[in-house]
Amino acid sequence: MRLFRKYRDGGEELVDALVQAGIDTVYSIPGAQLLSVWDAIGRRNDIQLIVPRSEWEGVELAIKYFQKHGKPAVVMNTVGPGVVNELPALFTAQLYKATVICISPAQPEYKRRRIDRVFQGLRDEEILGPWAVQTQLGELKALRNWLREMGNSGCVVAARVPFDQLFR
Amino acid sequence: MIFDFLNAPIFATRTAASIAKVREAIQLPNGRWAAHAADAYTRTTGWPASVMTFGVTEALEALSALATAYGDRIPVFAWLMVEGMYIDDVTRSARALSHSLTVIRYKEAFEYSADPHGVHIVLIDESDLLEYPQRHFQASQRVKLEYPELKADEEKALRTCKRPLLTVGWWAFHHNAPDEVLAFASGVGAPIALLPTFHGIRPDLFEDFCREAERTGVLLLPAASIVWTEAFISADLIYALGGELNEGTLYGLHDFPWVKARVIEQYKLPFPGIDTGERSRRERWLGRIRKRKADLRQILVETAVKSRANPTLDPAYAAHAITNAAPENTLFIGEGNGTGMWLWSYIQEQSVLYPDRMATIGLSLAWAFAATLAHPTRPCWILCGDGSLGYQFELFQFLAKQKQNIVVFLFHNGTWDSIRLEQTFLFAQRYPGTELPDTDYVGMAAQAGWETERVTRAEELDAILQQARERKADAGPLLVDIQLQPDSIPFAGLSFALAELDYILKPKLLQTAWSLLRLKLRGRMPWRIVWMITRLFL
Repeated sequence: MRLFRKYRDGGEELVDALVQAGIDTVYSIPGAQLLSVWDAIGRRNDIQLIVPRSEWEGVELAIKYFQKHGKPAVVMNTVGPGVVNELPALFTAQLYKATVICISPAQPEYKRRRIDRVFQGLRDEEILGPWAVQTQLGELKALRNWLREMGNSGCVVAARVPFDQLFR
Repeated sequence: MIFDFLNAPIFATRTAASIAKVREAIQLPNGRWAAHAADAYTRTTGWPASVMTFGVTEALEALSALATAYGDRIPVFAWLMVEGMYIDDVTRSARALSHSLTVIRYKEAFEYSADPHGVHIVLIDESDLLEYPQRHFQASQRVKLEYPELKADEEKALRTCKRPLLTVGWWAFHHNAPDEVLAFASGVGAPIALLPTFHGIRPDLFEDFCREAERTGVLLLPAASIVWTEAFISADLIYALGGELNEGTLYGLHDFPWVKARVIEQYKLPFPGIDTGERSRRERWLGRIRKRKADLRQILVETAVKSRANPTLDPAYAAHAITNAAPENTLFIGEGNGTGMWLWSYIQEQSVLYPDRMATIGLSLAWAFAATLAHPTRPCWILCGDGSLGYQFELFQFLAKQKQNIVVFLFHNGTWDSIRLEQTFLFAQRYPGTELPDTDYVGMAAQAGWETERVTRAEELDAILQQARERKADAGPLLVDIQLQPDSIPFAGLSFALAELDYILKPKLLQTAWSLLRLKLRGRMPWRIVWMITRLFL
């Protein structure tokens, strides 16, 4: 429905930022909070979405991608178990010194206090923290600059975008 | 055995069992499955089981699985032996997933005195293990259970409310006797809404409770059913016993909060009982809910029976036929996906293991292994989607060797159905990325040594169900690959999908309304679901 698409949402902004940073492959297991990003990728042909068998397999594929192409791929999984499932594979990426960019949606901070321990409220950044060079829970605008700077740093990087921004 | 005092099994990886010299450990292929198994064993027995791993990778696998136990406050012990150079990093990750203070050195293990309702992680520096190979842990449980008293205003609210609802979670029977719970519900005049985790308590306890409720006339509402959702929406006071409410139980939605009631979360009942002065209004409400439960059940059954005539198998019929044909003592396992929603649509007062708060997928085989280990005479029936079975291929061979009576009903529709349901709400007909590759699950399972069946028609399913009912306890695993049409919308469980869309529905309100209307016009969405969703916006 074109009628409802007169303005761009955060998902489209995020995909724009990825393409401008030279990203052409995203490995992702679906989740509601990522749907605007998936929808934006589905409408373009300069970036491909690959759905792996599991979240950890997505990270492993991104490691292989880096080793083959010399540039990072993005791994994008949803909040809670989705992000936590990346953990063991992130350790592998660290051992191989592969640049893997993990982007995940996050619960807006002011809501977290109310829903501690629900998958949407899980503090993924604390869990992933030791295994990645990490940005703070941030604005899309900050992510754009950060993607440009990271390049091929040879390390695992993780960013979290509040999901109300992805659908605004 | 160094873990004698726990009096529950240890699920370990092979390396961990060998390094720690725990001969009795039950060995699983990796840390993830070991942790999921410990979680399921605890849920179905009430005894906290342990998971034991060796090395960083296994520890991280276990942590990723422990998120599910952490969410539902299931008391699992994790013994993670980690190389000294990584122990601080693993500690930082573990801290976010433990209810107990993370103990970071072997010598300090069991000096805990924290909240017992949840995951306890003990990190062990492997060099410590070498230093003290024969030392036994000194169990000094200094756990003090303290519960807040019911406040005066809460007590007053309980006396004066008109539509009280009692919810029971996994911890409800750890601090209250089942007959006390029923007496309280009966005295207050409240129906009991079973939370998804409550369906997964020790099965014999659950069955006794349901029988006693029927005998005493207390109304039970199976988790996630439509009438359950309606009760949450229309109640004016919710007494949540032994388990907090959350997004999945419709509590705390930011965009459109469904639950307007005051919520009192407690682990203990307020005894002596509360005398109330609102009996007649409450009885009218109870009567209305009771009638709705019967009516909705009838509609669901009629819908399922009608769909039997469809040329392709309908998930409504499959879910109804499976839940209806299961032997009385069956232990069901569901996951946080579209198939899980179908299971909740048709389940009644039956034992179900379900990852409530984390809505995890890809755990059902490990759960089935542990649940069957705990209850070997009970058949274990899994309703699993094809997306989530893809997570679990590495357990096929392991389960084939176990000779347990596990039946996997694979809802094979070639899509991520619950996500497509949300795409349907938000983007009408655009479904990028949610088609799964065509995978021969039957071939893979057969190669691993499973019995397999492929089903495309209702009559075939009926015949398989008859066979499944008659399987012996040592029959081994059976995979029933049920070929289904994609994009069908489950009646219940929508609450889970909508809760997940919090923060998203409001900005996409117009799209959502338009999508609903299209679904209705095409006859794919019943009016009652449209009405239920519309009430969100009112």
